[in-house]
Amino acid sequence: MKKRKNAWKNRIPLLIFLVLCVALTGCARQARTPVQKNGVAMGSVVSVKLYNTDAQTADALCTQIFAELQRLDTQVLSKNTETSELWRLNQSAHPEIPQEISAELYTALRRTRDIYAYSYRRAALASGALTEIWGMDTEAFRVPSEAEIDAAKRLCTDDTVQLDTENRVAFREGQKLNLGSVGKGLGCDKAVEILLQNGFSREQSGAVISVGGSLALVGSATAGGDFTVGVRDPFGAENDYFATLKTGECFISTSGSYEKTFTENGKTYHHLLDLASGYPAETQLVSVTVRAKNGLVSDALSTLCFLVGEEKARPIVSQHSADALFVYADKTVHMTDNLRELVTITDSSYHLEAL
Amino acid sequence: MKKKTYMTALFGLLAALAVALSYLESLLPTAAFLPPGAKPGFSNLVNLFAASFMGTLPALGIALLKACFAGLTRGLTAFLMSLCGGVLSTLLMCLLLRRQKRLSFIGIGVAGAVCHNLGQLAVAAVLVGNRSVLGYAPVLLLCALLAGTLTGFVFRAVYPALRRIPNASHFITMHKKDKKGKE
Amino acid sequence: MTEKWFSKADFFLILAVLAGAVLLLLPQWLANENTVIAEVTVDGVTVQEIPLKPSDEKQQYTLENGVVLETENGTIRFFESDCPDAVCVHTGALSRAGEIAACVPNKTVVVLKSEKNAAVDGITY
Repeated sequence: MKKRKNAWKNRIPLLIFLVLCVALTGCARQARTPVQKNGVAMGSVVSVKLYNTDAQTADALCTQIFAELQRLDTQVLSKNTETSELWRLNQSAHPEIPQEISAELYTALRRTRDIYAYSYRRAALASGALTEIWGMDTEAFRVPSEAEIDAAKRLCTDDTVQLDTENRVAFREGQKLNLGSVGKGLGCDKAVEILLQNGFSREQSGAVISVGGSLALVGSATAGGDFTVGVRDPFGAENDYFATLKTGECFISTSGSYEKTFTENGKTYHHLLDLASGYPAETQLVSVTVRAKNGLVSDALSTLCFLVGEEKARPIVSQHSADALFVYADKTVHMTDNLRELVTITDSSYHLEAL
Repeated sequence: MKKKTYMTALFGLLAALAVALSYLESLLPTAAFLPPGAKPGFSNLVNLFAASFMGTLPALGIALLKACFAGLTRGLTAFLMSLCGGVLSTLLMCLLLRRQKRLSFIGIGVAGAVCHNLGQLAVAAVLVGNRSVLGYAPVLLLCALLAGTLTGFVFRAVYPALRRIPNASHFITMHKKDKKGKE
Repeated sequence: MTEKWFSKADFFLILAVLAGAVLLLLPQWLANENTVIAEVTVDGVTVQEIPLKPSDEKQQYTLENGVVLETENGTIRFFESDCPDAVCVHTGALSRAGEIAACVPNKTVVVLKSEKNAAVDGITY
């Protein structure tokens, strides 16, 4: 009897040891607090959040990412900056003589056009003529006259945009190529490239890069764990979200009618122009969030989904192996099957569609 | 005279072992969730052995040599931290080994590890001149608990074998006296 | 000392150390519950870190670029800015960790940081 009691007592220290092991590894979840840098680039807020990365490396990576986004915007993509390649290209449009452009710009134009080719003519690469008269690019919003819209609409088609020869593009005078709807996603792609080129380990670390609300998720937030992403509440304040999405590495973009709005004569207009009508899209949708394998695709698809509507968008989304979440004005939420397990609605005024 | 030679040799051996163990420890990858400086404290085993089988002075000597090694390889800060932690924990372990009857090796190991970490932390706080370092105290306490339990457990496990070492001296005799007195 | 593997005294010692650790952690836990720090960056450079406490009185901070921030009761907001659209001023007050407000024309960003992890890793909008 006494021996038995001793045997039990002998195991206590081992037990304590094991319990402490578990307790201390439990701390692993908190790991190091993430390093977050915020700034302004590409005309929007950019934040880079790095998990399990030491401060010095994080600083260096962030500096490079911000520099790259700055370059991408001012040297390549911007439609309104005289230093950018796209601006120069738009000035020298000619229907027969193709202009030579950088491979970087060509790829971006080509990929964007290929996605918008399935938009039922509601979105296009050459959307610049319309966005300009609405003041969307300069945030000097105004409602144009019918005649202006009719004239601009005719210029907003990719039928007259020639992209068949590599690194060459030709299009009609007056047409304005516009990468505004994919710029943030493309920025996410570039930022991830920078990370991976500079020794960032997606096995050991994690990164959440937000370029104006388009997100790139790399690696993992905690060892092997998923990221939790909030989806903006279309009816709430800027930092409010109505649902969370648990996901691993991916790119996420959202297009919503709550962004960049203006009111004229009592009517509120949003920034997602439907090229078929020439006016902001009239739809029951208030926002669409798309998860995809790269930033440009997620950004382009979110715009496309918003413009063409859920029914027509679903096949296009699945063709790109992407996922989409549709939010309607009556706060009903629809989503593709892959997301059902991953999305949690945190605001009870929203409800999932019945299956 | 023979005993003195024996003790000198043993001292040298232990000092070398302590240094080797603390070097081995430094090769271990640092776990991301532990604060910098959290170590399993293998070399505390040597300290505990010296404290129980050789006496206070040799044990302190080993702590000093270990600190010198840390100083040579990692600089003055490491020397001061190792010295303060080592001396403090050795002194306390010696005291607990001889002056009380309730704690077992595990308790002594824990007490030693706690003292070691707190001593190091105190030096760190003085050197940095900033109390924010003290925020580490709770985590270091928990680490000490873990490391101390491990040290004590291992030492208790090998203790019967260690006792058979010839000439291993004065604590054993004291201990036997204690036991007789008690019975 | 005793030759036992584990004694009652050991148990109490371990308990005492654990209690000490918890006692020392307690103020940290409590502090993290409420302290949020507003980090203000202009053009990517952190210019100010303002701790926000629920008990704070109204206070204004004027940045070099003319932007005025106002803190009150643990919240911070853009109070005044010379930018044309004033989106930043309309964003309203921030109070929870992870929230962001920005004045894009002035390249000024305010982010709330906390030792505690924010509920989400990012927000898509």
